[in-house]
Amino acid sequence: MNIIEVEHLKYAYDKNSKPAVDDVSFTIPAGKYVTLIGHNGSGKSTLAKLLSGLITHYEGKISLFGQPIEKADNAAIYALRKKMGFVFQNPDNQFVGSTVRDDIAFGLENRQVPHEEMDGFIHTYAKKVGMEDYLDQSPENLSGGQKQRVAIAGVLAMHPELVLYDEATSMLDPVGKRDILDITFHLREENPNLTVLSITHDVEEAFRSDYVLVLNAGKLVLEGTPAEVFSHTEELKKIHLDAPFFLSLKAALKAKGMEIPDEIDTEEKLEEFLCR
Amino acid sequence: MPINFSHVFFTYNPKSPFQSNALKDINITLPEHRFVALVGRTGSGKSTFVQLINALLSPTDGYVKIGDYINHPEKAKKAPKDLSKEQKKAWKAEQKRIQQKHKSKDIKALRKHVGLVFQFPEYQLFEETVEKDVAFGPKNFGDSKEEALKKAHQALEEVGLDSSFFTRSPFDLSGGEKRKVAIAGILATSPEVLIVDEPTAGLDPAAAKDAMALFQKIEQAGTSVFLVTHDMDLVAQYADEVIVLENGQVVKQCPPSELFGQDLTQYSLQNPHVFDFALRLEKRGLKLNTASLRNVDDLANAIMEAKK
Amino acid sequence: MSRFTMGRYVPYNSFLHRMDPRLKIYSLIIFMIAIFVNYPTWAMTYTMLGILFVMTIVLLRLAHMSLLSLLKSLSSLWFMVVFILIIYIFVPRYSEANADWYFLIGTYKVYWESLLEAGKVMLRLIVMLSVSMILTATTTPLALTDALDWYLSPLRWMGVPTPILAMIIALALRFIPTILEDVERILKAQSSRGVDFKHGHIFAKFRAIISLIIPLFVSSFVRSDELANAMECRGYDPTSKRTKYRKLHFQWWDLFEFVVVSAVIACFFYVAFGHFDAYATWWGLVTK
Repeated sequence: MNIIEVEHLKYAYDKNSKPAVDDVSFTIPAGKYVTLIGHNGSGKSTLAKLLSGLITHYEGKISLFGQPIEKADNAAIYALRKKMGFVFQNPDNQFVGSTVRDDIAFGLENRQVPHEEMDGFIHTYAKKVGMEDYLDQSPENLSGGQKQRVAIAGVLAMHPELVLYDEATSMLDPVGKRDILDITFHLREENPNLTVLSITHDVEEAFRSDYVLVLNAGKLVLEGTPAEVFSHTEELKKIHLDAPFFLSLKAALKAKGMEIPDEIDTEEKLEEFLCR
Repeated sequence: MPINFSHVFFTYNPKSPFQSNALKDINITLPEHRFVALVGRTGSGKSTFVQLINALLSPTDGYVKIGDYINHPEKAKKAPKDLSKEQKKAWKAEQKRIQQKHKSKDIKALRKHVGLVFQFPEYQLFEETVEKDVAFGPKNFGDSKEEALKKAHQALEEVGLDSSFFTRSPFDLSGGEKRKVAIAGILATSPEVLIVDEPTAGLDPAAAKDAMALFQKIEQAGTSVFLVTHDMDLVAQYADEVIVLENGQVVKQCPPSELFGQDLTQYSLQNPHVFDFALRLEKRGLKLNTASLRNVDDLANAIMEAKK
Repeated sequence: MSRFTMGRYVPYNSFLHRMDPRLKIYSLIIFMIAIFVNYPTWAMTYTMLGILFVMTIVLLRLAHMSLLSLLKSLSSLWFMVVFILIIYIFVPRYSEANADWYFLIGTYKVYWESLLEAGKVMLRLIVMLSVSMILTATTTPLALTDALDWYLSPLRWMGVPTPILAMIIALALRFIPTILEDVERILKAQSSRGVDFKHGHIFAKFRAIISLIIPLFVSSFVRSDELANAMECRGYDPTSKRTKYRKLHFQWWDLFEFVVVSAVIACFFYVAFGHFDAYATWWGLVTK
């Protein structure tokens, strides 16, 4: 089943301006980790708003979980959101509760989880993201990475089928970034049905994902597996996207005359190859 | 401008349940006309350290000398009781030397010479037009309106914003452009020392690269640049020297290549990508020369060298 | 890390910290009433206020706070105190009965009763501020919201959307530290651009404040916009029913405390409204 289907999606913030999302079509099958990359202003965040139902007046078609979204049907959007979890860019502005505990509870309260069951959920999911020792901490005592982990716990407690990251790591330091990615990969190992769509400008993350969509000036310019997408070095350079570390190293070595076979496609394999 | 920390302590919320010692006995003379990275985990005292240089904070004990300006504790320290008469006299003389009286214009002069770009500086914009916002700093430091605008235009061009931006509202710009305006606002006062705190946070890779190239250019033009960051890739790539803060103390001051390429868990830091890869190769028996390792290209060279 | 500010929650584990927040608000309110009612004679006024003052000191002790550091940190209070004193000396307040009760500074009449009045106002101020500080220092913002929510709940029958009100209060309390951090950051950023928030003439100060306020508004609007989006995406619908994670439970010792607090206040009310003059009664007993 396709979790997300987008057909000829078009949206402009006002009538006279250039569309922020311009005739975009793609599908995301269940159980995949998909990254959507592009530099700032490429239309990534607008696309996220469209998928979450925060913007409703668009042209084209969006289907979530096999069900087309009726543009003005708020009740249906609310119902669909129950299957989706969101993690946004700014860690502070999505932390609703006064403590970690209360923030995770916020989503549970919205879904009318009975009071008696809440503590169990809170503990389980705080533990999953390694925040079980911080339950009574308030947000001003947490780092950005920790706040994002709480946001993920809040999302997981809802048992979503689709998790959407809207630049969830872009405000974090490298350690926070790595933690969030590690947690995400771990979650997918635990639950292979979980679909993740991550909107990001981190090419390393894109390189580790299953499928990559590249957006530029509102248009989808490339899509495919990381290996396919990042083989288009010139196109990516034109739209100011770097190659991931592994690929740039491989390219640099090749340029200096080293012959590297094509089946070397991860850092680990390259390591082994070089030390042979 | 020579900057010198002498026995500097800093405590937040002293004598309260929230008391925390941010800096403990810092003694350091900062290098001049170099690109220096200041690293350490969150809470290691980096931001306190840089705010002392700009006199936004005063030390709890000890002093920081920035050029002729001495940033000292608000109250002079009382002499210990068991001093002899001569010692007491020397103590008093020392206290008198340190406890400079600062007028408003002295502090302004200091801040004109030491530019500090905070994290997410776009949140300090407030004027109606870009040029007015950038001219705000120079005007505060005593320039006439015309002079300030001239400096603003220069600074804006330096950060890569042409004259079409001058009269636009800063609030209509994109995130990356706002950041540039904010940085121009500090450059417009042509500081001798420029401190930048996580300047690439939240920027996309292209904008981040632009920003770093700008700081490098500024450093080469003779300004001392201090980069506060968690991003070790930036440190490896740009810094001439790195200062490591850990638990409120300076634990290391050396060129990046001397710090990286070893186990850094003791400082709660991680190696830059290139050094990390070199380290992994080394563990497998391929020894690389990492002395001048900065980017992927250097790494490829070092590997080719080692494989010969 | 922001500076230690008065009125902030201080995490200790005292008797006052553990007290039910609803009971604390109840106690605060009746304490306030006890401070502001009029007692029959000057002697009784000072006796009762004295008792309240001693009680305040005991409560401060229990909350691990010190009156001295509290008074020090409230520097604006001292300005008020001096101001009140001056006003009461130059705009004398005295009753006809005590019109002869004064002393002279040079040829100026200073009425004793004015000074007593000034003293009363000062005592009231100090006690009032102290007990409010005790409440906020021993109660988490969260517990305060829950308690307010409980007090507001009867309004629900009149059609007031109390869950929304409670959510607004909770969010406001949640974002106070965040916005204070913003203030501090912007203040420092503008200071390093040469703004002087302390010195300078009125116009310069006005400019300084503008350079703080506008960025603060901009960032707060961005925050509220993003927060609203995040809340909506996390399934918050103000019109639909929500379950509650935090529930307050009244314990048996809370009942005991309730009785004690109510009994104490009853004594104060008896004195105030029953025009009970302990000294006259005592004098009556002695001379009988």
